Amino acid sequence: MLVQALESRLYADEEPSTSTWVQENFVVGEVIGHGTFGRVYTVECRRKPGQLYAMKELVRSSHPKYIEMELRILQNLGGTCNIMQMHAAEREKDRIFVIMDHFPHDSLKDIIDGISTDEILDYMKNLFIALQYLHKNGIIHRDIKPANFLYHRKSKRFALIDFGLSQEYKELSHCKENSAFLSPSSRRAALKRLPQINDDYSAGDVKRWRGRCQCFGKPSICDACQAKPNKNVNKAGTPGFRAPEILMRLDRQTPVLDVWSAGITMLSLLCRKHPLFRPVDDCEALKQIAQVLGSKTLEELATDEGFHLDIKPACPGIDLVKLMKSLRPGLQALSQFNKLCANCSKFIYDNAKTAYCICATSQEDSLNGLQNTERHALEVLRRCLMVNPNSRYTSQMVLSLLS
Amino acid sequence: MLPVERTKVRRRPVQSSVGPSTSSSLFNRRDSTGHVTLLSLHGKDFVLDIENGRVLLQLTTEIEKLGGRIVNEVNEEKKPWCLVSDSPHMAKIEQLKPEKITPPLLRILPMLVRDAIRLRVRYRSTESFTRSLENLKKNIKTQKKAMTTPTKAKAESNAVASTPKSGPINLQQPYLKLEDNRGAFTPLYKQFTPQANCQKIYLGKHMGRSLFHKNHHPDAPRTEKSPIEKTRLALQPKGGFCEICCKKFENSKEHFASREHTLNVNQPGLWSSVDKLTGSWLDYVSSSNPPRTRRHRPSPPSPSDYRHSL
Repeated sequence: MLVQALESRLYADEEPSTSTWVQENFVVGEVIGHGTFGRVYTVECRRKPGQLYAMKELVRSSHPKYIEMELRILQNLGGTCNIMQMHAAEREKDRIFVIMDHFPHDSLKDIIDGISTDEILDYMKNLFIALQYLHKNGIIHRDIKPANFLYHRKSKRFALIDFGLSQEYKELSHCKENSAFLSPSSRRAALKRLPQINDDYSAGDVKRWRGRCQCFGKPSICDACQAKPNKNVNKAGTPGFRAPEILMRLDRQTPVLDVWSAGITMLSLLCRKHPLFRPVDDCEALKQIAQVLGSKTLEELATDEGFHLDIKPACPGIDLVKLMKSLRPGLQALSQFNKLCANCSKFIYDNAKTAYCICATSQEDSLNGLQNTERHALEVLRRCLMVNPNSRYTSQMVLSLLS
Repeated sequence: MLPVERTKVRRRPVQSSVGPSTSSSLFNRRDSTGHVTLLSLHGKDFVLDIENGRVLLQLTTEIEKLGGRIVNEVNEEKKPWCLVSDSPHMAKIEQLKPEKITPPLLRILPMLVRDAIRLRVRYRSTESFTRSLENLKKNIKTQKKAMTTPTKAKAESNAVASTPKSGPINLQQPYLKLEDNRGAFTPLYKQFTPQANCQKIYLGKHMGRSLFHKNHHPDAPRTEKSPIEKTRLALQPKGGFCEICCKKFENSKEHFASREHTLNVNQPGLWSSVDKLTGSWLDYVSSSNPPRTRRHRPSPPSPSDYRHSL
């Protein structure tokens, strides 16, 4: 710990101890977490020795608007329903310090190997208690992932953290009303290292472009289409956890986008592999979803929302039960299913000779062969990973399914 | 792929390249005809006049690994490409042009070096040759990396440049294209390269960073960063985007200290909404805001007690 403190002094660009408020109240310890949001340190109270807290120093480039949202959520909703409690917050010029509970937790890497299905269901139930509470209060978290849901295995305590990307959601609001809220999000997106392009265009431009496109439904992009502006929506979140409606840049983003991220978390846990998806961009993310859940459902969602999605060659999707069973042990776990498939022989690495099949067509049979708990877990998973946000379960519905 | 280009400017007569070059790079990327070639020592002969057995063995293996050949003498019919010698005078000699080497100096040199000077063959000391070899190896590595890097999505690079390319872009399978029926926006599209991590899944020991990433070293144990290394990384200044200044920055430390940022964060009223929310709920933690006694928090959730607190 001493060495670490020394190291941090050597390389630090801005230490919390340079703040008079921090200096006056706390003894700063090691860094326990860092990311685009800022850094989290362990701190000890000067006036109450032995009392530990976690102190988050927000990155100094954050806009006050987002800081306000984060503080408001912590203040109004924190401390109940598995949401992290805030004890103090202080601003010193552009530096914001938030004092929260010191929450000892297990890293997912340490527990993922031996986690049982019952424990996964318990984890998900607690995650959905927090989500249901947030959604009921009109908040979308936008960054649900295991790193933001702390879990202490021994005491069975949970805490949802990091509301830096959260947004308010109004039931009746349409994209027009929301646009004031959405446009600065492209700035937020830049912070998360995402491409951001201005989409200022007039109604006249739309009319001009509409008639001239020569590539609709074809595997090419015509000149007219290349000159059009990019569609921009709030894409804040972690790439591998983004819901299809965000990836397709649909206008209507509802709280169920958190349910999708929770579903991806659950799939990771059930497969005992984290992270499962690591796409480099939105196209790759869509393709990966198509590979796992089938391209047909994605194409249907696009059609429903006034889009046309073309994924060639088409993907049949994966039998999630078989994926779960074979991901960690390897290919030989599929040998018991004794079905050969030309498509899967190419799709799965090192499967050219054995040609074991993992196509989604066998999913119903595989589900029937499962134990009750596992079948229940898969049922919950399927409701969370509905590609169409309108048929995806809300957090309230998933919670009642889990209780 | 590396572009194969012919440049008139850089083309040199064959003779001049034979003399000792004063350039720091011994191995040029262009051959005598001016073509850009893949870096290697293929087709090149070397004479090693080295007494130290260990160094001799090391250089021999390295040259042969890169495609070069070791010959024993400086032959007039088939001139070697370079002579490497560990003679103590080499450091001085290699700085001089052959014409400048005086007969008394020539006399104290080993025979092979004298031959090399006479036949205008390149000559290098062991130290400078090892340095050049290291540089060559580094360049080969970069070159290989550049050739295997997957290309970036065209949609994004086009959009940033915002200049339409002439002629339609044709997509080859496998590809993805998402277009809106209204035709108001540019389609989202990508043609996947064989290197793209979405074509194959990897199970068991073959699985790498994700389901779609290959583990290139399935039997090697995973290396993890030490906590000290993690802390060091966490505290290093980073690049990013300042939402207050609406500006990209390369170095966070510099940007936050800049006059522009200092002026922007001192705008009156900018922090008023944040200041309303700061304070302390702990007796033993002071606050610049008046102490708060009551927490503005709705009671725990129950359907009957639902209110929009935000």
